[in-house]
Amino acid sequence: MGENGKAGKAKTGKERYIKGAVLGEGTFGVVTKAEDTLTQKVVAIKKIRLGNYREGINFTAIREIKLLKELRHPHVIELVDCFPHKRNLNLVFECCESDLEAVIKDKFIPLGTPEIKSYMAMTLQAVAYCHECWVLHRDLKPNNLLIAPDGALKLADFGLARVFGSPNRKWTHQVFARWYRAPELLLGSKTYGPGVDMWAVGCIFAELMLRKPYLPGNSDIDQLGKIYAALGTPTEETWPGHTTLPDYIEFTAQTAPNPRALFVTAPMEALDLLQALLAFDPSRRLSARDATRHPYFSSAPPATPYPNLPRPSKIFGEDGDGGTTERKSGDGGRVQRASDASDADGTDDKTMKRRKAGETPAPMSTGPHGGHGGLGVSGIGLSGMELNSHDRPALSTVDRAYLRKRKLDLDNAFEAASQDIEEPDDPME
Amino acid sequence: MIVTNVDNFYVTDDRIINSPSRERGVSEEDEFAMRVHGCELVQEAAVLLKASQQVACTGQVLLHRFYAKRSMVKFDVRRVAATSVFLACKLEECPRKLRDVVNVFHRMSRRREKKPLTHLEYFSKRYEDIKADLVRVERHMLREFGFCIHAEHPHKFVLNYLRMMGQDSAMMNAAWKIANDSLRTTLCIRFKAYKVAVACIYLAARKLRVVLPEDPPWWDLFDVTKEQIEMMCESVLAVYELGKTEYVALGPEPPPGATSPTKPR
Repeated sequence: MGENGKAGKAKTGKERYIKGAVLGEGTFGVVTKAEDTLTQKVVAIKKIRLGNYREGINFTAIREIKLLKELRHPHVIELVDCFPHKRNLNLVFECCESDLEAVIKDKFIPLGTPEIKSYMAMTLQAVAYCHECWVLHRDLKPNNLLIAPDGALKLADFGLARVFGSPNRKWTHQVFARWYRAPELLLGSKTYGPGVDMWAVGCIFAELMLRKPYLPGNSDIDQLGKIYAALGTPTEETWPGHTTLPDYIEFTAQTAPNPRALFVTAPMEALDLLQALLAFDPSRRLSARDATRHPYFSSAPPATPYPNLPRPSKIFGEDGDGGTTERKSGDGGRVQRASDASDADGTDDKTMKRRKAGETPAPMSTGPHGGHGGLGVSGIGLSGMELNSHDRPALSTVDRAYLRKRKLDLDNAFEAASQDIEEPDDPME
Repeated sequence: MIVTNVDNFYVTDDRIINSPSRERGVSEEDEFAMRVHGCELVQEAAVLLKASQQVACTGQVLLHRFYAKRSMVKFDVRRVAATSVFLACKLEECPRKLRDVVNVFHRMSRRREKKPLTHLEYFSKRYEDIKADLVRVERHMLREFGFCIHAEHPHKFVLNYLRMMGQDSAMMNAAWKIANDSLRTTLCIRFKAYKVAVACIYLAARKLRVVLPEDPPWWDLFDVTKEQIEMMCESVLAVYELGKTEYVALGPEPPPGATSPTKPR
């Protein structure tokens, strides 16, 4: 109701929107595309079922509303409106057609340094803004970074976000999808800070360069193993005090392999930024604001302006056969429209063969920046494609895992609440 | 400090005088007493639920905001108080189970009615009714607020300002308590939190006979006028004059499951 409440005769609630196609099934309900009759804009309506009234308005929905009402940034998703209807709560967001995961997976999108730089800059600006508003996102991952129709990246899903800054608060460490979980969370720290978001940003950065998940652990222990295998085991020097964390486990000491071996074509600055984001000691990890000022973003080649970024061909809710059936086909590399630009970039033969005949070339990759993409695609992108058979958890399992996780989150909150009492005084004299 | 983009819950003085409750025939004294009573319930429930003082504060703000939009005739103060606490718990990140909130309010009402503290049967119809009603009021509340559900409290400003002025902890304690009590009044929907904080400090300084610089007056620094301070102080002092409040049923419809003594009016 928010803005239109004052307008009096303006259409409110459900009447304001003309509903369209279903975009997808979220954790808590259906997301539909709709047209806003007030602004003539296309919006996405997330319907949250209240169902059996057990605990009133959904706790994560409350978090999301409360925080998004206060956050306004070009790269943070806009909460346009929210209204209750029947037994449901409807959140109206600006419509985004795709997400970063689709970009990473779409083999016909060149992801060279200029593109990665652009995505990273947008992500970091959004995260820096949130941190400056004292909000921790706690669920950063490529499919929470949505792509708006104009190409801008939007940080979304604040269902796990929290206000931080009060000292001595104990929080649950069961946050983030496992692959993006910082080592201090895996070791059970409950007094973490903005560093956890930065670690996830680092993982996303690596994933953009590799075009596959950087640290895909299949259990919490395995996740730590993957981290140590990639970055070496932490020492008292690189991370003072980590042995005192609640769930500390000793691993056989390892040294970090040369990152150059994995990130073959990445520029020096990129490796430096990655290393700073994936520092073991959370207090030495680069802050979001400092990261936006990293030399990586000021060195050549310049970042692609976001309207010129190539768009993925997978668009939410658009393709009846594309979305679900092809996802099941296993290799994760859904073959879609190829562009002339990506041909010129030297995409490998396999993809060329796989390309369906008679597909229309996607117009968006043929931008002026297509040429730069060659760097990333030919070197790094290739390895990504070979290994793309990696089984990223399917949406439904991820969702179920989240439900469990969120429940845990609540339980921990109940437990921790007794420690939250901070003000000593009697209310009334 | 959270940057606030939406501040649509402050109301004009006219709206305070001609409140929705007044339109339904509730006198000014009754409304004031019931607001204070509702706030007492919120505060006590927050303590019983072992929730933080922040929850108590936010709950009281929610209650005042709600009665700026809806009347006490339609929405009984005890229902709204329970809902305020429940919602405030969620907002301040220390969620409490609906069941606990219902139990706490049951206990408080039994105690106030001087009845034996019986257990509220978990599978009874009455329990289900109370619970469903609480959730319903919660939805009314969110709709009336247009989902603007953040609240800022004077407390942090009180501490900051006093530190800025180099005051000791006695002064901080006194002003802090007054800040808590200020939430019994409608100040939180008439003035921004930082202005209320100035009034709290002013009152505390008077009480402890602490001399604060008056030339130039210290409150100028915080963008508040003397008239505003006096107005706010009067509101807070009225709470102390009122003393302990008793529940009065104002509406024809008692809350579901409540055994309320309806005062003949």
